[in-house]
Amino acid sequence: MIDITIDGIRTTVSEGDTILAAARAIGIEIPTLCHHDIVRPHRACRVCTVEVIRADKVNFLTACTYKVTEPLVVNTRSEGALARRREIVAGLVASSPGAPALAVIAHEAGIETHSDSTGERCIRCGLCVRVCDEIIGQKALAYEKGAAGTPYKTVSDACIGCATCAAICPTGAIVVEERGGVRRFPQGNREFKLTACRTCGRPITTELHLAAVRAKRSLPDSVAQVCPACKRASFAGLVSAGESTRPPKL
Amino acid sequence: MSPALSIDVDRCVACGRCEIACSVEHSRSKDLFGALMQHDAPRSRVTVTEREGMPIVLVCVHCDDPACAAVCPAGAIEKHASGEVVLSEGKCVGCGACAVACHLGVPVARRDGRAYVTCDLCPSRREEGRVTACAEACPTGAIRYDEGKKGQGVVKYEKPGQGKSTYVTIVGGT
Repeated sequence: MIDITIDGIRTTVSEGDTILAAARAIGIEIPTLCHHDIVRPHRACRVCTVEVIRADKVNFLTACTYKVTEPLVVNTRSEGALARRREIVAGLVASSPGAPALAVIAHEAGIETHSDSTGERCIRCGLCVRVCDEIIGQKALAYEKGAAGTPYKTVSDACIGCATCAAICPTGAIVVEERGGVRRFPQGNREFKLTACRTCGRPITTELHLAAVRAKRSLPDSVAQVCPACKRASFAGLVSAGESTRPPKL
Repeated sequence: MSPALSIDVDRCVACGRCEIACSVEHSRSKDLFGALMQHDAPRSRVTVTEREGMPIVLVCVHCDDPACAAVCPAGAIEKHASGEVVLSEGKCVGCGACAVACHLGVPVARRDGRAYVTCDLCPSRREEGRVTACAEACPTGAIRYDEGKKGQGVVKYEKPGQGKSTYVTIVGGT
């Protein structure tokens, strides 16, 4: 067990714990962008940069990857840490303006975001690859060798068009278009037929994604082929009619 | 202790205080102004709507055998022994399978799109011995927080009746 201090608060951590985990355990929020609890840290965005003082040496390190091995003092909001972070975030905003998750961090760092950029937004954080690999299980994305190329442009036939990669991308780099009953990923050059809600006609998700969900759990068509908005409307109908809100039997 | 919500539909006047309280409770600052200032404004887990002129509050019914938990690829949804079905935002990847599987269409996407949210029955408030945010905020008692009523499911909707004496308990979930 090692004693460390974060923003003036003393705490004890196990050797190998990251500063990010230690801070969260005591309720201190360090902003992150490419970090996700479910996959290994990548140090791609460096938004979690904090000031670390070890034996009088001051360094600015990423909280997500730095593992504690000796007593130290961490300042997440010192002048130096904030200045570093502002610089990093400004750089990310310049290349990926308008990305929702980044806009949150930028706003809190006092940086203006605007939404006109045609430049590459990918920061190669690997979240799309790892999530498709380890969570969705389709393993449809891969890095191209070398610095050129981004994972979502190399999409294999295993892709089911669930767009989770687009949802999880911290910089909004993955474009998803839905038109005419089809979902398109122009960058990866893939196209999928959408299942439409049988009540309102709006798309629910791709046929392949829906099939994958239904493979995990038997769902009646009245649940799987109706969009969440229409299901909420029928929820209200059930309650107003005094009927059960239990799931319908198959 | 089993947490439970009791929703008396006749008492709902659609004031929306439950939605505000829920949003504030799930903000980072846990106060109204902080929540308003939060760039990624928190989403309410409870929804006020109306049907044929009747105001209704919709919330996750914490099913006994939750379909959402079964389809979640990230294992982010768990049914706790005390009854609550909890979606851990930290594990969620935003795929939306839960919303597809939920028979009531309850889970909604966070504003940044990277996770879904649903009612967690305010665990930090309950740890402090307080009731859920919605129940505390409701001015008419349409949402009441009960505890320890075994065998009645986690959320019960009470059927609108012709008078105070004719309520029938409808238990949510499987």
